[in-house]
Amino acid sequence: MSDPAIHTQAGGPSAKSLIPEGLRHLLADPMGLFGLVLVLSLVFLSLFANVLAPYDPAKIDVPSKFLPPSWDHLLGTDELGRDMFSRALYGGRVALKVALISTLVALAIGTILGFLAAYGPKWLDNAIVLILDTVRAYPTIIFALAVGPMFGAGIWTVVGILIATSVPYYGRIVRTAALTVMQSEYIDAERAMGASGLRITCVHVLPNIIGPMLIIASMDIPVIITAEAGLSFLGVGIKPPETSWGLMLDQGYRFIGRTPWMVISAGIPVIIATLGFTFLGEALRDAFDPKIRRGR
Amino acid sequence: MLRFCARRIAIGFVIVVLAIATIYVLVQAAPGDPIALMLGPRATPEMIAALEARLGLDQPLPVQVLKFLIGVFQGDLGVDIKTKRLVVDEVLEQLPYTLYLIFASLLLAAGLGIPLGCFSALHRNSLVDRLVGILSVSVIAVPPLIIAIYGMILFAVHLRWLPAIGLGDRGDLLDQIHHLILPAIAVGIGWVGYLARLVRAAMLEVLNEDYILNARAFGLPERWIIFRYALRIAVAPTITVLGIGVGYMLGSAVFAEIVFARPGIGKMMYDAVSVRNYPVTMGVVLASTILLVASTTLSDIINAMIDPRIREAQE
Amino acid sequence: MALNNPTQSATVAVNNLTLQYGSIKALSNVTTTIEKGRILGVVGESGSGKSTLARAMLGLLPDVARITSGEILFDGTDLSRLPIDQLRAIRGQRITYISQDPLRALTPTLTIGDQMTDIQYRSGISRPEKRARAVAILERVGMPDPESRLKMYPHELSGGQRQRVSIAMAVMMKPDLLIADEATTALDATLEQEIIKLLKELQSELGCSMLFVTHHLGVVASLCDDVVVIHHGVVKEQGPVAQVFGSPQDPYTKMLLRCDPALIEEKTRHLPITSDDPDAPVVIESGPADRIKVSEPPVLEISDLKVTFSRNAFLGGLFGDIGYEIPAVKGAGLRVRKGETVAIVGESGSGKTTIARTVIGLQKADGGSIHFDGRELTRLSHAEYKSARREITFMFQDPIGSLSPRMRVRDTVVEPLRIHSVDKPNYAAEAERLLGLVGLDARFIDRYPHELSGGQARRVAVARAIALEPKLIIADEPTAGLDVSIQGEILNLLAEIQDRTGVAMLLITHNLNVVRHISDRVAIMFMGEFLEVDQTDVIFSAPRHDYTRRLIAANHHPSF
Repeated sequence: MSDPAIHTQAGGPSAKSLIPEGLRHLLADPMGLFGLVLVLSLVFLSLFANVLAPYDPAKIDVPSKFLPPSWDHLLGTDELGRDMFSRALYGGRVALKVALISTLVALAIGTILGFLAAYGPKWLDNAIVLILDTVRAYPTIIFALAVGPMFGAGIWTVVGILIATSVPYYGRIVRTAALTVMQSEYIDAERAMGASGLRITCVHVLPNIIGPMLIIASMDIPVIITAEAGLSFLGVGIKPPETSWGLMLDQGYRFIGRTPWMVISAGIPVIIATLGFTFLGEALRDAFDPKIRRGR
Repeated sequence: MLRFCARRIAIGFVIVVLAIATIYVLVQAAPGDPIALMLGPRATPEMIAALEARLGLDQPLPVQVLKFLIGVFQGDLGVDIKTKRLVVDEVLEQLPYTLYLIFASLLLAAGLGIPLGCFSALHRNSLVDRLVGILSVSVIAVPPLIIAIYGMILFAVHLRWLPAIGLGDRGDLLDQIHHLILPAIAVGIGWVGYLARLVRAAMLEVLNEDYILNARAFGLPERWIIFRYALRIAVAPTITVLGIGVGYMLGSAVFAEIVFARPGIGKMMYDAVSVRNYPVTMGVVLASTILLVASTTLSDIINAMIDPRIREAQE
Repeated sequence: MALNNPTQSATVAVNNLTLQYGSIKALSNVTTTIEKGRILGVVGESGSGKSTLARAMLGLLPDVARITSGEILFDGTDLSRLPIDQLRAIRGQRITYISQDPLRALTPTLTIGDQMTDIQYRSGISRPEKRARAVAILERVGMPDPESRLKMYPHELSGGQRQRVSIAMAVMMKPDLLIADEATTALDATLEQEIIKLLKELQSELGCSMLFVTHHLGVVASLCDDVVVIHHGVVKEQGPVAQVFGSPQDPYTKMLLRCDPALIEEKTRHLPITSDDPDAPVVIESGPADRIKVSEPPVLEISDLKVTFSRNAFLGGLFGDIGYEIPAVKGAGLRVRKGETVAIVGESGSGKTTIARTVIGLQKADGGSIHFDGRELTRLSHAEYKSARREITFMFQDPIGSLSPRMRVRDTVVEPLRIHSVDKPNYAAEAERLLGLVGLDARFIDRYPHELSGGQARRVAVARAIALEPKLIIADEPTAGLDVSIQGEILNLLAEIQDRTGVAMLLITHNLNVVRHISDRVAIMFMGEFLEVDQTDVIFSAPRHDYTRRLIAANHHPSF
């Protein structure tokens, strides 16, 4: 279609590796850099919450309840006089833990199911697709409200629900990707050379799928953080005495008429986390997906 | 085309049946005992046995599932434990409010997102394009719950531009629409951004295709090329995404209905869960599952209508 | 305006046109004319700027393109500086375009009828009149049952039919200039022949001028009146075809003509290549007519091979499966001896690739036998096949697509050694040695497939194919998508390897011109059957089958 003269001469400078090149693109993208800074500071603050938190997040100090944000209390205090900023730091730990565990486990299960469907006999493929589509028929929040109370509120219930509702998406994407790769000529070439199924899968199919999947998963982290906060807000997620951004939102919401800044404060960490991860995920995709990069 | 629709609907039906059977089993098999949860800590064994018998929970699980499914087909979802009314009546009463909300959000998402994405693609790398890009990603990121709460504080409490809670006056359509604005923005604004990005990417890809070059080579007016030739193909992924998106919107509707104190199945679900009113929760799960499966099926059918290659490939 | 118009008889006069993509010059100082009622062929290799020239005349250039100087005069108007709305009024009415890929040139979501009436929107006639006009022109281009085609979508038509629709659309408005960009490249030889004949007829009926962009010298010779040769955006030579091809003056033109295997009448095993001194006399060493002794036992013996594509519907088609059964190969037999090259020639869909895939075990045989070096391949289990795959290597059609995208060249070429657990003390040294054998230097060793050109990737594929010193190499379209000069390099490389190692080769191709020089015997395949198998010379000098004759006739010779 277009004249090949526009394209760079084939066999131009050899890139030593795709990864430094991708990183260069990421850092050159201001929004990506912005996301990276937000995410890194969030991870740092949450990881060292026990050192960085100015107050004990559980320490009740009734006389100083409902304090507006100030230099002493960056996000103010709640109805029991607990420091909202300290609570937000500990809440970040929970959010990151839930996001990381659910995403990775769901990705692993989804990848296995997707591969089974793509490789297995036709009946297994149809069965797996039917199961995945069935689970996908539940809206996440409705499913969580129905099932959550039966398992009791808590971090592992949240993780379980989020895994169950994420697996179908990963499974479907991996299945399609695996089928596409399996039909490509280089896999036929490997077969023609006598490569074993195991070698083809591990050396040629997986590496071509796992990169894009990790990018998709990274873009799902804000969705998971949102869901965790939402479930905790609804009372089917994290329960006290553990702290969570969703619980803080619930607390603040209850006093919205009296002191609106409390719920506003509770929303700030969630916004920072989801914005940071979304910007980073978008930039990662642009930087590492060569198809998109070439189109720029 | 008929064959295609029939098969899609058949698969959707199978999935709904499987989905409700599964959730029934899941709720029954879960470690938490719904009966004990319902009756609270002071329940006597007799009370528990009586309620179990009334709900049919003393029978073996497969029998229960079958009875439940048969009941569903007969329009019998059981009785609300608190109000003693038929669950099916209550769900059908609340469902329209949620449907209005989701429909308004879909309208907002498609009505704003598609033109924005289209404009961005046609004015690639312009200031507007960059701005739309950054704003899109931002609204995608922020959770609907937070948009609902912040929106209420800013527009309803602080500025007093929009009403904070409720449905609006019965019979006053304008007032009802006025009450719908904030909840619809909370549910739909993220989708505006998502669709804008999706349409932009799809449009850029389509505009690069040979057939668009060919249409240009025949001197067709630019608006024909964009709307008649390119956009039809570029919106196909949007329709698929919206079909699945209804599921997310149902989830967001729960928050919007709670925050803005609107009736609807989301609010109903939340209230039922907090008082362990479990026939109602099953009713809402059923309604929302049917809604989600219906919307994905519909989006498949619309796509097949737009692009003849899709129905060919699957027929 | 008409100040610079050199000749009144020119439809288009391109004067000193220089065009840049960013900082890269795509065309420099191009001057050429398309005379009224004549066909100008634009010839060049990929990247020469020949398509850019065609698209510049329509004002359809990518955003990065910038015309820095010169003009394109069409009837006294400079197209390169015309406002877009005036340009649009010319496009599709006075200048029309037939694009390269018929499969992708029509909008998939609109019917043929819609697209054909859309382009008449300036005509001001009623819709039934527009449709009647579309039917008439479809009939003229040889479309069967044109009335009902109007209701069809592009994907419901075959490639040849779609190209006829594109042509119908291009001639319907009776243009002054018809631009065709590689309009026949994607078609099979016999179909290409028909389309070229059709284009020539339509052009003389309309009395319009035509610009025909192609890399195929033979097509130019049989279709065009004048020719312009472009290389790296510079016009090398132009004039009437007979003059340019008959007595080329420019070294590049000479080289192009010399490299075209169709022009080399005598059989040779060493084709001339670009890097040779262009002015050196062409030395054609005669290939030994009978290099291979008939007494030599065959390495590969295929007899009565049958392959059928089939699928059973699952659960009454609930999941979208449709059962079908298509015979792809219907009882084919062939022998390949040690050191011999046998070519299977056929058009797309003839089953030639299926035979190759069945030999390597990627496709199951439904009947007959494949005997290889003392083993019956059709009866081997999956595990037993591995040993056969050590001695048969397969080179796929797509040179870049058949290399694992996340694997560097260094690992790709020794992949067969790793698969068959061959102990090499130093894989890196072995990789370098193999690359050396195919003429690639060590700086390519760290590249990924997408960083290679088509020719380079082809060499890597050859290196991988010879890594295990196989007894048989199967090459599927080894020259597909390569420029003439690089075609020669790859074929010479294969011939050299064969001379050195005595490997047997099975060549799958649609290109008879290539076959003529490199292969000892040729099998002509049509609809899953071998029509005839014979010595190459015999096939060319005394074809027995009518189809073979048509195939040979469809090969255009740029000779006079």
